[in-house]
Amino acid sequence: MSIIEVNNLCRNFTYYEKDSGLRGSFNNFFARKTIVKEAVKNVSFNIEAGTTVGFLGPNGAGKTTTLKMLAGIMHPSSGDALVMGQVPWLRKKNFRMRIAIVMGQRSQLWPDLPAIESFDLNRTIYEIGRTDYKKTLEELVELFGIKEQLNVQVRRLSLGERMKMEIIASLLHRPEVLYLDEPTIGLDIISQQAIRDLLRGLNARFGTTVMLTSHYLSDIEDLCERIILINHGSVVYDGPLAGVNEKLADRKIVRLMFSESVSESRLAGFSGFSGIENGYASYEIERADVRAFSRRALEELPVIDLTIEDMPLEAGIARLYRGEASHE
Amino acid sequence: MSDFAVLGKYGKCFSTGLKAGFEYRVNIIFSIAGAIAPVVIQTALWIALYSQDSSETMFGFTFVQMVSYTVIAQLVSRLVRTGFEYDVDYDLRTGSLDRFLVKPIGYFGFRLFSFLGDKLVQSLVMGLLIAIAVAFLVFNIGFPLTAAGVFLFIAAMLIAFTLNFLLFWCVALAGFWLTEIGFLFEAVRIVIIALSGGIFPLAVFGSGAARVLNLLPFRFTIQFPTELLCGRIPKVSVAPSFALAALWIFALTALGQIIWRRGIRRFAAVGS
Repeated sequence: MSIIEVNNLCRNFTYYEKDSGLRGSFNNFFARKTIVKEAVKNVSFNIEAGTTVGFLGPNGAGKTTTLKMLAGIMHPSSGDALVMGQVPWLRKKNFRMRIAIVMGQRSQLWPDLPAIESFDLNRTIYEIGRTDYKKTLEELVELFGIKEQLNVQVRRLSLGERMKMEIIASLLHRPEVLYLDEPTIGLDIISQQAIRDLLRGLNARFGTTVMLTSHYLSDIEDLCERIILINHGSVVYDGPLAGVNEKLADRKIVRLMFSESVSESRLAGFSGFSGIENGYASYEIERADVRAFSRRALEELPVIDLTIEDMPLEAGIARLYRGEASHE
Repeated sequence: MSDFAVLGKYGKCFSTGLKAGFEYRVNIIFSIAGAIAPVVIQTALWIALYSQDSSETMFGFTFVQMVSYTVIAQLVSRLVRTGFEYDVDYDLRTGSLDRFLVKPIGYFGFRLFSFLGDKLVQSLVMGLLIAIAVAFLVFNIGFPLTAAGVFLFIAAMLIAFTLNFLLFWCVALAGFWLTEIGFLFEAVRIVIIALSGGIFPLAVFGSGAARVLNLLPFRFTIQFPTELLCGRIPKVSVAPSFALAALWIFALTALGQIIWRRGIRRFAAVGS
């Protein structure tokens, strides 16, 4: 059964345009030109209970706006959504008791107090029984390995430690749905990995349905069985992560190394040129054209090395962002 | 939700705020110093003015009354001073209000109770300071302290605190519409303190202005409790004044509710 159902969700924002210069400011003071931006456009998807879904997209794609609507913080302009059978933005108490949202750039912890105080406050806010609270907290503290930091002022914690505390604070009431908005943003590679390890298996342990947005593909690769890609407010891909690659199998990366230097203009004479990397000129070529391209390159350029590779996932997703690859 | 759970939630906000308040020991010391300095300056000013003037009273105050008023009013204005408005401003400006909207707790209650907790330590220190100041006035210049005055003062202080919280709650909610309102708080605070009789007794502004100001909520935050303690309010007008203050609490609560509802609609971008 779907725990999250989203149908044609739309969110427009209006803001004002201002011409440059003093005159622009002056005119703007009296008459403002309104611009409507469609942050989220007809987004639809369903999410099954207990799954982890990655929500990807470039900056400004509408990821956070969608999450905010599903967490009940923002009203949609049109369309509807049901989370656990409830309309999120009505913010019924029964809804708020069962969800949590962690935003990488926002803290719910009291900076001047140790995290344990904020946890204890959440215990009463979410009306968690003392025995349940103790059990969950012990489990999480052990899992996250932060026993020593529990009694340290939050402002003195490292970013990675703080993020662990944020996630614990959000899990104490065992939410059925957890939204994670950029949980690894700003973290170093090791802390990113640590957070990922913790998030993995969260749903196995707690049965939580997780929706995760991230810029880091490794987060998604590690954690999500399914990804929803969104760009310019619309879903451009929805399916298993492996599917992105399949979809992109129609393109290959051909890399060439030369015995003598070749001018960039000459390289650009071959279509599909995407730049020079580590001494190799690289080209993005349709699979069907690889033979013809290679033959021509070998004949016309002083090639001493040639490799043919699959598109890396990042490049594939970037193409999907640009809307070049079609989606069903 | 059971009443007990509600009490538990806000009680916990209070105690968490209290713990946070204890984290700032230096802050408490500075707030004492900050409270004493203006008292000394103003007292010196009135001593100079009264010594120049041959008449017994100024603005209807004898010298003893004026000095007592100034000392107590200064300390009261410190005691009722808020500070939570900066947290509200931060939450609105950065969108951090989100983190409260998704939780099963009311934002107003959260801010009120965590602020009360945070303020408690400072309030006790300030209360002690007032007690010391009053004792000093009693023994040195013959301040007429009465038990009834103390009792009414404490009751009026509760009202003063509530009103000041509500006033700044309404001001802080302007953050829903204006981006930068941090600068507004200090300006509003100074005006409110002046209109509350926190700098001079309202009589200084002239009898016409004082009559208008007596009807507004501001004087209940400083002048009213101060004059009760000084025994300057005639018995017959004590009850009506409390009633008027209660009316203002009711009105400002309603106003705050209206602003909050409209603001939250804007925050959640309803219908735009």
